[in-house]
Amino acid sequence: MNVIENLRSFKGLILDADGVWFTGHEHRIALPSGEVAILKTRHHQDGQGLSFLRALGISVNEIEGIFHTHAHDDHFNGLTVLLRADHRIKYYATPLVRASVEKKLSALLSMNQGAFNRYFDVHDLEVDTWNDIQGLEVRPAYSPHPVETTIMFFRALWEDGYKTYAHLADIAAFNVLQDMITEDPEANGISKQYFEHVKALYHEPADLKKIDCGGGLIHGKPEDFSSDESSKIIISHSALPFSDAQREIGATSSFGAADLLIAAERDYAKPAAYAHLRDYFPEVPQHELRMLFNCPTVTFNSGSILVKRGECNRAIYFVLSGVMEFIDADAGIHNRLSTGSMAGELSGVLDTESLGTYAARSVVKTLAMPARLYRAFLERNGLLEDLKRNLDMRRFMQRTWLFGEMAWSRSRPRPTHPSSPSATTNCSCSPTATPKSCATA
Amino acid sequence: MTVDKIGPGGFYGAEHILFRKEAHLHARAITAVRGFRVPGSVIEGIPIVHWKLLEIYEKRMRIAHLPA
Repeated sequence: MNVIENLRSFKGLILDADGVWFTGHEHRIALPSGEVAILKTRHHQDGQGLSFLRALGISVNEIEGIFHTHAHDDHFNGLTVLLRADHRIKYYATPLVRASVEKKLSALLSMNQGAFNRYFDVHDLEVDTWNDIQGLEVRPAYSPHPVETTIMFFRALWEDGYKTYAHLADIAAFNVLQDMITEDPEANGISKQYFEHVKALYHEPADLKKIDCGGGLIHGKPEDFSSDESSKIIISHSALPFSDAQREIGATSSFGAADLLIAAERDYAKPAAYAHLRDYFPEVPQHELRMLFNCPTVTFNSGSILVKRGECNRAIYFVLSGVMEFIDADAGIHNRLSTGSMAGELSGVLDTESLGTYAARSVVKTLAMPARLYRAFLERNGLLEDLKRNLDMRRFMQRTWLFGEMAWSRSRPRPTHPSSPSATTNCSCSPTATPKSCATA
Repeated sequence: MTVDKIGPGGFYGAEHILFRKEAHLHARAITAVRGFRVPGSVIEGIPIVHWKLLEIYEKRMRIAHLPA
């Protein structure tokens, strides 16, 4: 089983990556429902966040939510990738952290602070409290740092009690905090009592604990955790190699590696795919959908072509996971598509040549539906005429920069056709235009 | 001053969706134009579309030397 398959089969908490300087900052959690959350992202150039996801075979459109620790650049830049999803990604943070993130993002993007809610589905977390998110519980705790920061503890119930993961992002080294201790309440610094509180917080045992290391005010020291009773400690976040002494305290990890805390007994990818099909055909009876769902799954390696331009494809591919591209080099079209999209739908149904090439940008898992079966399915359910009626609009929209990267869902509200009263008034076309008998689709 | 030429796949009128305000710029059809009128509610919950609208809006404002 490859890494991607592995990641998708988890239930509970998983941790992947760490140890490599720029890839060591993706920490994924599979919620018990199988939905995906990314703890934080780090990248040094715009676009690298997308590369991380692509390397894992995950589209930004598949991300259900994120947990955010603080607004420093290396834990913040990935937000610009998440803004480009086709849905509002759930955003989990304490109100204080969220406020600092909103202010920074608004200033950098010249947008109103309220606009944050347009891009993210905001869920405030209560600090020092277990917040239940679909069976996964998270407890944020404030941690000393130059900006508002929380470390996060996660837990999910399993046979021997809770399985726990402690995410200690950008913590302070104890010697730095000790030097800040003062008995003078008027002076700058921290009290001895606060120092002991932070130390106890950092040392809270967990089944798995990840520490951002490097020393100083903004990164921890592995040596501070030599007496930590956690079952496993992962040391990360440093561009420098760890010493032998440090590697005796905590393990290092590489990109794509995973620590399994709760094993899954079921495949979460298929039910998710069924939900997408359901969304695509909301009016179709379940038994009809099951017929489609019974089609074989076919996996394409990154770079493979699913449907070639000019091909009269005999199969239509419904994307279950991964990232696919639609390319028409002559027309300068290069759109990225993800879960819930179809490759070769129109050309397959109409038995005509594909107008562009569908290529796998990552490992792509699909439901391969014979074109004849899919056409029969549409006919049986009275959808073929509907598809033909909207053919021009769909072809057009799918090739635009604005809408081309969205999965086309039949249940989504659709743009108004020129035939409606609200359409532009300077149309030159017939308001009752019907699909042309195109030679290509 | 012409700040942009809008061809097939292009769009106009994002200000209302983005900021609930009247357009700073005017669009004039220089040939017969067929277009789709997309209600704001259709794209309300789609961040990627908002983002792209914002990109083009800011580009046009820069060219027009108007405050975004």
